[in-house]
Amino acid sequence: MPKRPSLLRGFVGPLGDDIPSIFPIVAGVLLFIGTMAYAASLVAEKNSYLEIRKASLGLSYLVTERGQMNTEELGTMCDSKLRKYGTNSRVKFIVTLDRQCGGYVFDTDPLAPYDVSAAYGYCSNLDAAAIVASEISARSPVILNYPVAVPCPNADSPTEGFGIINVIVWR
Amino acid sequence: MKTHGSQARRRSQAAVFDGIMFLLLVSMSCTFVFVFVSSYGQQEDQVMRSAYMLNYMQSVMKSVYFIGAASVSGIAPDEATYPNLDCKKTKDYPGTVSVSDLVKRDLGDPSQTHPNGPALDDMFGSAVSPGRTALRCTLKELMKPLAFSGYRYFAEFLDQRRPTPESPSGKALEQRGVRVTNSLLFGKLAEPVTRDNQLVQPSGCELAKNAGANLLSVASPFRVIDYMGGGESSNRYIFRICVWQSNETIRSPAA
Repeated sequence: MPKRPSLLRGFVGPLGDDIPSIFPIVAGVLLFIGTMAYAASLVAEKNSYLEIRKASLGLSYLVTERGQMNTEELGTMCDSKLRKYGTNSRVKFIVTLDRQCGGYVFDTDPLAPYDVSAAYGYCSNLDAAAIVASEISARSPVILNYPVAVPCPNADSPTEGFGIINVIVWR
Repeated sequence: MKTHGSQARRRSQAAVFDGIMFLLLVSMSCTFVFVFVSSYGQQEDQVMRSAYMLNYMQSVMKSVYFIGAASVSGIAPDEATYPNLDCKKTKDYPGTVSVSDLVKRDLGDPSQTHPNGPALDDMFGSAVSPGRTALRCTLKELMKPLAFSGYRYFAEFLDQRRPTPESPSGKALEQRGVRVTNSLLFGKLAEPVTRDNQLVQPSGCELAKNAGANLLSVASPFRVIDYMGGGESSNRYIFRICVWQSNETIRSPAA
């Protein structure tokens, strides 16, 4: 084997000498692109969540504008304001009104807030058949609860007692 | 030849160095991106959580005006958090009398029976009017979700005619039992004491604020008819509720 001059040892040509530097450069470019893509997806996800929260607060302000509520008032407000707001905000929502005349009892069933059939009154921009508790729950909706005065002790009583409004919003 | 080999080796070393520096710079920028992303939207989220809390408290305030006094008679308070509270006192009031009606009557004491000013003491003059009991029972129930989440609250009344530098909206009424709270610690601190023959009582909300609590409060005008003036004028009060997150634990007396 011919002996190379000592000063040329390790020299593998103009291109060959640059090959080791290509690895960190490629790794850097890939890392940067990957990070930016991941960051963009996180920011988009967060923005979507904030928009849903904003829409849920907007719906809440509308539905809690008075301190009392019954099914007729909820129905009127639903047609005139809530559905329009939900549609314009590009969200799906359910607003349920529950009577808890004896005091507030918290449900241990996580799907209970979505059960519109058990509610005293409800409003949604979905058809009743499209409201499936397990599907809504899987979409991690924003749920806000507010106290309100509702007819008590009976649904048609002229006197008011404890009630609760649940605002459930998802996309 | 000698010069060419030496230059090539130096150039290759410089290229590797440049590559590593580039990787280092990219790693640093990625760190900044992750720091930005992790904090992105946190302030907006915090603002919206506070907005929810304030809206909840406003709903509590509005409900107090509508809920019938008799409706709260079925509430069973726990003795540890709400000592000496018997909600059954309100069961005989007709449905037309709301909790706020009872509170307004309770706060409308004439000076003959209450020389130190109106008090929230379940009495209207010398007649029974359980406004304090009704308010405590109502707030116990309406604030339940917040109380379960570790929040403590104060409800108190400010006198708009007596603004102070600390409370420009008005000084908090100073009377025994006028502060409604679920905080045993601050409840004790907010009890009135007599100094130089004068009743001195700090505001519950200001106590919590001065203790470093991150306080949220809502207030609404609360006019009470001045019965001594023949009902033609009214005392201008402000009904204020404030909440703060607390790690205060409630122990039952037996524990």
